Amino acid sequence: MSPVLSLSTDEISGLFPGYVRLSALGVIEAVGPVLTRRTKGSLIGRPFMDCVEVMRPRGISNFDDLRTCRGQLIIRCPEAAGIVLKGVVLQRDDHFYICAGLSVDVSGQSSGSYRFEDFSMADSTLETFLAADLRRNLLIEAQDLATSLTEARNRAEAADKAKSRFLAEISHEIRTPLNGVIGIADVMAHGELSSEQAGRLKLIRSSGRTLERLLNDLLDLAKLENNRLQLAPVQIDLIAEIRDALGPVEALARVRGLDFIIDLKTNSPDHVIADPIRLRQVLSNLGFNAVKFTQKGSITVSMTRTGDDVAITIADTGPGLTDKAMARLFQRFEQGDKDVSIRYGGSGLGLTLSREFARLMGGDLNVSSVLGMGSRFTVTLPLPPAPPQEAASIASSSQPTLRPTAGAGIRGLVVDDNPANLEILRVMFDAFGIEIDFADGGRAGVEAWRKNRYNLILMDLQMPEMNGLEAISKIRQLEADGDSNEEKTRILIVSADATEEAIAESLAAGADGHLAKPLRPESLFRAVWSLF
Amino acid sequence: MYGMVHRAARELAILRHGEGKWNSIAERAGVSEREFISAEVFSDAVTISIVSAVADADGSPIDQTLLELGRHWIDFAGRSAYSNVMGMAGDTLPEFCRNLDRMHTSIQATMPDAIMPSFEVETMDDTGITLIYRSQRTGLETFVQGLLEGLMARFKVDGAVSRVDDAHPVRFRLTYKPV
Repeated sequence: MSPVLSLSTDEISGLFPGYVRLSALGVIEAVGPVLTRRTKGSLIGRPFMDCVEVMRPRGISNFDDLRTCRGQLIIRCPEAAGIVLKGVVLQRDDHFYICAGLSVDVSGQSSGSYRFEDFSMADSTLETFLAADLRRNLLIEAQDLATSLTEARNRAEAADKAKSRFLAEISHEIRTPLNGVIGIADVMAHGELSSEQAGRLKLIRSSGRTLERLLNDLLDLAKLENNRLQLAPVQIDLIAEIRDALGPVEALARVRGLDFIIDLKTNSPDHVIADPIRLRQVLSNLGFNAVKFTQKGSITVSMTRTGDDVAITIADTGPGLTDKAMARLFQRFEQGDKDVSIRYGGSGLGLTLSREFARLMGGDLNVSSVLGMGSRFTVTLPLPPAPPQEAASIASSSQPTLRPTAGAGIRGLVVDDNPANLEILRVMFDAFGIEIDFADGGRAGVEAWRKNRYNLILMDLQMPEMNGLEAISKIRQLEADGDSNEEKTRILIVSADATEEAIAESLAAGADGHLAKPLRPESLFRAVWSLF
Repeated sequence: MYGMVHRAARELAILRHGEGKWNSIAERAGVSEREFISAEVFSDAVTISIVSAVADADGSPIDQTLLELGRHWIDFAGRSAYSNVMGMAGDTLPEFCRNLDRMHTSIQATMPDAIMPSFEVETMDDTGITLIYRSQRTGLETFVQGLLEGLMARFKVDGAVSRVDDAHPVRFRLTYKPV
């Protein structure tokens, strides 16, 4: 048979990069680019069988056996480490060709030591090899990307925490002077004022309350971001709680000429387990929002119950919301649209916090709206019924019945280094006929108590020399060392720091309760009466 | 184009203008990603938007930035996941040019959605190489010219790259001093 192909050396190299041309006696005359580069030409002129190990077919140990082989040949050349040649033996005239391509173990090797010429153009070994190589590299790239994203997220979270800390600290710093402003304004309201002065004072007080609400929202936000906001679920009278939370909303709605319809008739048990403070906060936010955005028409509050899930809906006949506005509604510091914040003001935190609180309580807050017709905000909460035997003993948190009294045997001491706070408390106690003394620091407070054995102390926390916690510990220690028949002193912390940690620390140091500044007469006396 | 070109553009922008400016360049280009996966295939419009935004930041015509991105690409790819492929394609400029088409064909096998150009060595001698560039795309000739200039720099060859004429397919002449 005559040959059908006549190939140049370059063409043979392209098709069989690992080819070997042998003389009739089996001496190597030429090799392909793979072997040339890997052995640096050291094979030329040497007997082929001295340079290779025939792995397939088995049992070939001399050139005579090799040249008659017509099956697939697999050869390893020890001087070209890491590669295996696969091919066939062809005889042309008086020469033999081992027509072989390169075979590499793609799973274990990097492509670094190979060249394109090492691979046959007639098969896909190069592509397979590169695919494995690129896959390895892409995995590394993906890992690097994941690492950099993790680092970026960590940086963002650290920045977020720093921001929350800053918010908490600056809120505290603002709360102290604000307490002075609101407290003094409250005190002045009890005095004799002209109608003009009373009007101006009302403005100061309402501005102060607005600022206080914003501060509280910021503090809540900081707590939520740091996962430090803890719920305090207790047994509550649900309907009384809702009515109480929405009482001020109803009053405002009526002042604005809006109908306020409240329909709480449901099969819901009267008493349920819930955090009353957060529940009130959510309802109050939704209620005031509804009034704020409704020019005419009505606000309707309704409630339904499915199993333990209670859905409270506050619907208004306000302007309604666009889809775009609804999408932004629950984002922090966002309002429905820019015009809203310009026209109505507000921090844009109320709805965000309300939804966060609802979710923290295991529920959710959702909105539906028809543009031009109004909006419906529905808070859904799991509110399991309270055990019946304990329900009767539940005291509604809405019981600020003050008991003006002529002292009731109370001998009080206020310990605070801020003169404004002292003045506020003096006027509040005066109004209720309780005489109190003052000390302007922790050390002075302990000394005053030692001399006069007060049975009530209102203690600030942050004071120079001896802080409030140190002063309480000292007093409790002196009590323990003294006469056991002596009446125990009731100590209330009065502080701008209303964090859970501060309250826990106060109680651990021996305080009987904690009151957050700015103080209201109602909350002060409710706390005082609860101790006597 | 595939994400790796965008990674190169991002690196070029950051080298010139800093990380912060890259964010605004990406924003201007309408690109939501700030990082790119090398093998991800993007439409050419995205690539052109990025290059255009980088050109705006540079205060240069877009062709100038395309040329510079091409030059930068070779250096970038040589340090990237493709460095092995670049190494396998050859140790000299002529060898690399001969394998340019095979390199693209082989990479195409791992990224079937990518549209790879084709390169053919038309002539090669001691004074230079004439290379035929074929692509389904138009408008990236300046980028390719930058790539070829980058290749000459990679192999430390003094010379220049020019388009032979305005005919199609496009021919580039790499001219260098006789070796």
